[in-house]
Amino acid sequence: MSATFGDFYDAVVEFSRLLRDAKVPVSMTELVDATMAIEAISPLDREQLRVALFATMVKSESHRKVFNTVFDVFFSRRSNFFDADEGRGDGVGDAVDQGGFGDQVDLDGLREMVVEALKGGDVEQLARLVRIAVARYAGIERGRSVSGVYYSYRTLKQLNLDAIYAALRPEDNAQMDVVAKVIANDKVEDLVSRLKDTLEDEIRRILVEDRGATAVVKTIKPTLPQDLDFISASRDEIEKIRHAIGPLASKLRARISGRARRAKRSQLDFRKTYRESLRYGGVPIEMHLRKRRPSKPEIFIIADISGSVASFARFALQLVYALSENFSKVRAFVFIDAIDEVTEFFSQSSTIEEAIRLINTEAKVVHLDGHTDYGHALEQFTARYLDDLTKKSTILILGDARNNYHASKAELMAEMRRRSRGLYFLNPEPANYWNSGDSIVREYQRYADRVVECRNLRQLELFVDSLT
Amino acid sequence: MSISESSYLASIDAVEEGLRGVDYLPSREIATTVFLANRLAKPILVEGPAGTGKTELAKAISRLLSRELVRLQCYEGLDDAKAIYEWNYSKQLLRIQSAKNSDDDSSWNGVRGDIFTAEFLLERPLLHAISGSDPKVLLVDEVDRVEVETEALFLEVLSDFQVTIPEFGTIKAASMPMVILTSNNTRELSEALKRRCIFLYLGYPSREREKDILTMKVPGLTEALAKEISDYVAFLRGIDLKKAPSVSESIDWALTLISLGASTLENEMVRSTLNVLLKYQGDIDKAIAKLA
Repeated sequence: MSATFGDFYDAVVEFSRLLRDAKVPVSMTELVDATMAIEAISPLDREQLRVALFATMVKSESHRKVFNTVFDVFFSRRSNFFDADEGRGDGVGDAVDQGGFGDQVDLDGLREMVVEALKGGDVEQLARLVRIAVARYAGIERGRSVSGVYYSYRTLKQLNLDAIYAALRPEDNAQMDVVAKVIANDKVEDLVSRLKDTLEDEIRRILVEDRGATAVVKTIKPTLPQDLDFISASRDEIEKIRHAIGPLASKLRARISGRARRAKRSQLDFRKTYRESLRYGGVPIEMHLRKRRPSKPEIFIIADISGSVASFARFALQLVYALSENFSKVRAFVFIDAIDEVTEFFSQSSTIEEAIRLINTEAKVVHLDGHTDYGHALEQFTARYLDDLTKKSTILILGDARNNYHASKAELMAEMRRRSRGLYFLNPEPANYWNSGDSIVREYQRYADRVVECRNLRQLELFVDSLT
Repeated sequence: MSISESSYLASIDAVEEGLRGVDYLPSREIATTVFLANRLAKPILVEGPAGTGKTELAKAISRLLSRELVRLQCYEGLDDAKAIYEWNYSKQLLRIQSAKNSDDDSSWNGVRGDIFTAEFLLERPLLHAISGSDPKVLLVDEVDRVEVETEALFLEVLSDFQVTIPEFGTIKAASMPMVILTSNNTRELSEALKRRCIFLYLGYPSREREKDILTMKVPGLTEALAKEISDYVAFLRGIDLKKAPSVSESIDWALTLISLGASTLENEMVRSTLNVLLKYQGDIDKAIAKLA
């Protein structure tokens, strides 16, 4: 019954394919390492297997969530490898009888027992109870290709999450110190997320039993932070994206400052060469070159923050924030149908939330009706800031170029481009929607160095890489 | 490899036990990865926020195996002369000078072959780590600080454990070093480098493990206070701060609390010592607001 190493090899190859489907790059070398790692450990220990595969196949923390999702499904407790360690009943049907209390327990009793198990940290008991809850309340329909989110929701609704929260919270005790209270409340969150994890684990187990691991992975479609769409990303997802922006901003800086060391060609530093030669009796053994002054680039970011690109705007501001920590000279502008400089807001505030709040309340970005007007924004920019542009300035415009049929004033952009070092337009819309409806990408395309589709971090990174 | 050394690396449990013995509390994941690194003879790339014990891990491994720790601190502008080897020009020059004085016809041939030998080579950390008959632990610290191009310097040492010197030939490792690279993830490392390593992410420890670390590192700390501290720090890491408190900072905080004679966390004490834990005024304000 137990799996052989040969089975594991095949499994690991299949597993790597699923990871690649989710855009986690797994190279041939890494696959070989993974198989060697399996030989070194006892792969029947699921956590050992998880660490071994993660350490060899995945090289970035941002890939962990996707890795774990695929791993949990693929090597789920119901897959061929781990049925031996089960011994806790064979399926949904008889799980109910396993604990010996099956039918007697009603909903309230079950909830109480769940709370007890959570408080006591009894993992086994919790798993057993969750199994009963899922069997009773999830209403799982076999053969349907779903990701299981709804089953989880249905079960939690029946168990009544609010009641669980209430039961877990410590009684309001006046004598309790505020620190202790804070800690206790924080722990409640921790416990509830443990319950949710156990629940998802159980549902996954049933889904995999029903349809097989590969099929389930394909319905869940795990997505890397790099591939999350800016426009449709939820607030949580935006958070994830944010963590990945930092390294990208420093890369962008390196690209734009044109790498000081790029040219080996440089003038001879005669003084230094001669002085050093004295060490060797006047023989100039080492040649010293004049250090090239690193250029100090300026960045002008102009971001559309209208409703149609709201999530993207949030991302754009985060990028500005990350950049302003990296560049000495970043100037930020936001517009809807009027433009305003917001550089100050970033330097004033210590967190991005505060900056965004200031921008939302203080920045004067509405001129008439609050419908995006690129033309008017460009007009104002030219009138107020054109003289600040120099050959050191790089302009990044972030927006979807949907202009509500206003005049484009593209010729102003031409002037901005002429005065600066480069002008790039980053558009969060898929390229095949460009120029449809009120999108006027075409008009700006003529004057920008490039208009780049920038829907996710991966594309942004490609853009950054392409700058030289 | 000596007998005692291989026994420390014989199994995951042995690694875990051993590291504990040298005052480093490994999680199961850390122990497993160290064990695998040794088995697969691959460097470990350790990534994670500052102050979570990345460098400490390398030191602990060197203590565990009683091996010399060779440390290469990376910085922008690091080059091969500082990382791998350098010719000792002055010594070479002296050698040439002394040959000049000896009036020997055949001296040129002698000198030519002579000055490019091991005697005139200055070992830098990477070369030092693979030379000598006793194996070492090589720590390449903060590898994300060098430019992408410079990373290439490490590749030969990391994958083949050898160094090629044009005038000299290839020096193969006399002994296999255990290699640990650390990165604060300020930029993506190149694929080539990542492919050669196995990966370990050292995030903030679980409450349990942090409590154990605290009790181990802070003498006189009660179990109960350690638990409270680890819980409170875990809570702080959950709220959105500019710089979340690291493990070393929570150790500092515990030391502070002990020296102030605290036996339990309470409002006033926490408020007045938060600056040990948090390094930005904005973060301190946020944490205090949560205590309202």
